[in-house]
Amino acid sequence: MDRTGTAGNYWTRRVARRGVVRAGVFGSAGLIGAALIGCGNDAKPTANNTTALAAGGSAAAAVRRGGKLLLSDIPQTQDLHRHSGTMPTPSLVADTPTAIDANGATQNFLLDGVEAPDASTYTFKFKQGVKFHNGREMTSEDVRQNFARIKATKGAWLKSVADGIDTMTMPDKNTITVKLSSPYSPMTSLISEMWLMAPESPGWDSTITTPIGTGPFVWKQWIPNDKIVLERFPDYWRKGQPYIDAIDIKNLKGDTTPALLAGDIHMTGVSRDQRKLIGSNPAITFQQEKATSWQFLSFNNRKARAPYTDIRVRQAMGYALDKSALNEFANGDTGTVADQMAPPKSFYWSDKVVDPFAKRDIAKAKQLLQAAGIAPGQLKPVMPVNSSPREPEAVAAQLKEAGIAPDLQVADDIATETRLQSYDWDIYYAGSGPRSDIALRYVRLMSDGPNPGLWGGPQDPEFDRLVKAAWTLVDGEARKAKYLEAWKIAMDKLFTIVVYHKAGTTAVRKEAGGWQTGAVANFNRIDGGVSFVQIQA
Amino acid sequence: MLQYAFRRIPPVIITLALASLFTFFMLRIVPGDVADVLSVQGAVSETDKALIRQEQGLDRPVLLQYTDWVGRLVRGDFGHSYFTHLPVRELFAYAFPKTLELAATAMAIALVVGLPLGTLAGAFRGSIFDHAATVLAMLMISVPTFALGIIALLFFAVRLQVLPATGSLVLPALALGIDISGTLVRTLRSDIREELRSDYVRTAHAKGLTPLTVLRRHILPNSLTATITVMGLALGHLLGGAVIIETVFHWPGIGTLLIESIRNRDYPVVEAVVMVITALFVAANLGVDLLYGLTDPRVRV
Repeated sequence: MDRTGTAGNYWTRRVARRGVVRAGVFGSAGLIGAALIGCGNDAKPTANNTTALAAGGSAAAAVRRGGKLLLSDIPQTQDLHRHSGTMPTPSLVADTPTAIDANGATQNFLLDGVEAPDASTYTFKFKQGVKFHNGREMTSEDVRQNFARIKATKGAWLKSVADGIDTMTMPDKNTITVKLSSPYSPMTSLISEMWLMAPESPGWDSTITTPIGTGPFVWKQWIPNDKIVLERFPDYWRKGQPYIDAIDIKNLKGDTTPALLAGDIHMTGVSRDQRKLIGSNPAITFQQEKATSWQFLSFNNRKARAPYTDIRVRQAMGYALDKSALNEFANGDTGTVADQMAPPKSFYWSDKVVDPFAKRDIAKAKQLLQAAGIAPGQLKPVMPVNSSPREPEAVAAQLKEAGIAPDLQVADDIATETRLQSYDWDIYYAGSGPRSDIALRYVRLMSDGPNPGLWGGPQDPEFDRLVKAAWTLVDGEARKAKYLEAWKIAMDKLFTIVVYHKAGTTAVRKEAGGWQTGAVANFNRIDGGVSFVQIQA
Repeated sequence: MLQYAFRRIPPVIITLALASLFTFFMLRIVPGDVADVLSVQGAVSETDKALIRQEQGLDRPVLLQYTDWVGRLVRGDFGHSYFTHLPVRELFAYAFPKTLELAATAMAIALVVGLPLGTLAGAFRGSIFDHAATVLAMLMISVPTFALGIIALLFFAVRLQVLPATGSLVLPALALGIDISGTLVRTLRSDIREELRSDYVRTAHAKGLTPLTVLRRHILPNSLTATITVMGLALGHLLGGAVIIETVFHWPGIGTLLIESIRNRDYPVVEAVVMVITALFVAANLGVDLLYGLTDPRVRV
């Protein structure tokens, strides 16, 4: 989910990843067309069935039941343990032990409680009476089998977490104790992405073809490249929810704004420009995501070529960047200039970190290049660009003012990714999306971290040691201190330069009454999402 | 006629063989494979990538991969998608009827619009009707299909909201049909004008036949050779997936399947789709050749 180019939220990330031609040609054409013909129409009404009153008949407690919610996502598999490239859809069908609330905090979801005295032994106590879609009650043995399957499946989501499990025991039908080979404090946050399925799900031993979960909706049909059809699960453990009868998840790519304006879907992520264009539509409101993605300029750390091994050259590029201008260009008021991976003002963020590149200093950049023996115009860093070159071009324009002439090499996502992982480049400008735990950001800069190409594959034993030390700590403040020590190394050695953080925007049609955008991309969440939606006429 | 048909078989086999070589090796030249794609998604370590390549047989010599693939292809085994894990045959079963539906509707629109317009424009040469049809046909051909599609989408779906923006058959079929009918009008008009100057037409008139009878019995049948070619090529093109139009309208046909599979480096799907598209195109052209043989005995010689 990480290679976001210029886009920030989970909707636009996918657009950026997949849309060289589509986003460029059709998206632009769509936007221009929308601007030309105007977009201020009321949406088509969506059918809903009944309006039921809760106990006491209070108008305030009125619940509108029925109707179909129309969503958009690009799932690639029905097997929710395998990586699907997307998080929203699995959350409709399967629930997770924990969940991330609107403020980004981890809460129990299918769990009643967790005991983790030393971060290496976790005792998970699950709720009683939670049923799978096949009517069977979920037990701790099901949880064990889910962990075991994830561990045994190549490319499974959270496989690295499951790989750390030594033993699992089930004291009773609702409790499971998991012992890890080494302490790992992000465990409870990360299992908010572990979708539990019944081992009876068809294809369990190879590839699941119909997931049987405990989620609010039952998987009815998947037509690849078209849509997924889901129906309400009447025995959902959150009594009375969900309020809607069905969901169609349309498999839309590229610019989804016309589909939103036409009422084909009830919500979608929008860029700053799209928001401006549809801003006056009375059928649509905008919600900010509660978590942020971060944008960065990375250096090739694993196979750095001269003169990029010279810290002065890296610093020169840092001083040549105008973070404020880039943030304004990309985000307007939805972004914040930043210097850390942790979102500004969040728990793991520190106001004690000093950003040397907070203010642009072209003269200093030129001085540094001169001191490094580089003449103006001589430095031509190779800069791979994927999908959307708009922001990288702005970065290149800024660097040019300091006498640096980046060689932009545009290719599709996968070709760029392959290039990045071959370390045949010098600088790379990209973004990384919201995460359920800060560990998933720090792990990217570790020597054996996943998808290391984006950050130039740093291999720093001291950085690794500090992050691993942070994972062993149960106390939050102590953990934060260790992470910040590690971050100091990343900043001092200039693995990457953080430019800004931005919160994505979701455009929501009035039909999706009650929808609240949260801190993570899941459609179903503990304190918002589809379980709370009441379709409006 | 049978001998004529048999003569058409070897080029078909050569075309298919070349297409298989081209598709297979071009895909291997393009940077990135399925393991890289999964890695982009963020969940796969370097060790897992090696295991995935091993599991999919991508670590074997390319030539061996090719012969294996051709062997399976000949047996009708298209394999499984790396991503959906569904059999490619099943993905085809979802996508092909959609493309067929779109192609048939577009062809119907093209025939309904193009045949009468082209015939009348050719028969009444120099008239206002002829000029109007010529301009209209030029317009139909000149405006890019995707632009027409986007404008129609924004007007009918977004502005008027009388049709959905996604998954609707009407708009993409109209965009494609109009494009084909433009070519049809021009081809038919030109052929009819050509035939009108022929001796046999003059003879037919001299025999006392009415102009309508001459047009119906003599001119039209002789003018259809080029029209059949146009329609055959258009059909092959449509069955191969009108990639851009399917993408603009989110139509889940073969074109969409192909584009998505290329983006995901989903080799088994791309290879199968390209081979089937090639086979369809070749079959459509073979059909056209055979129709030539039926309508014009001279080509059988």
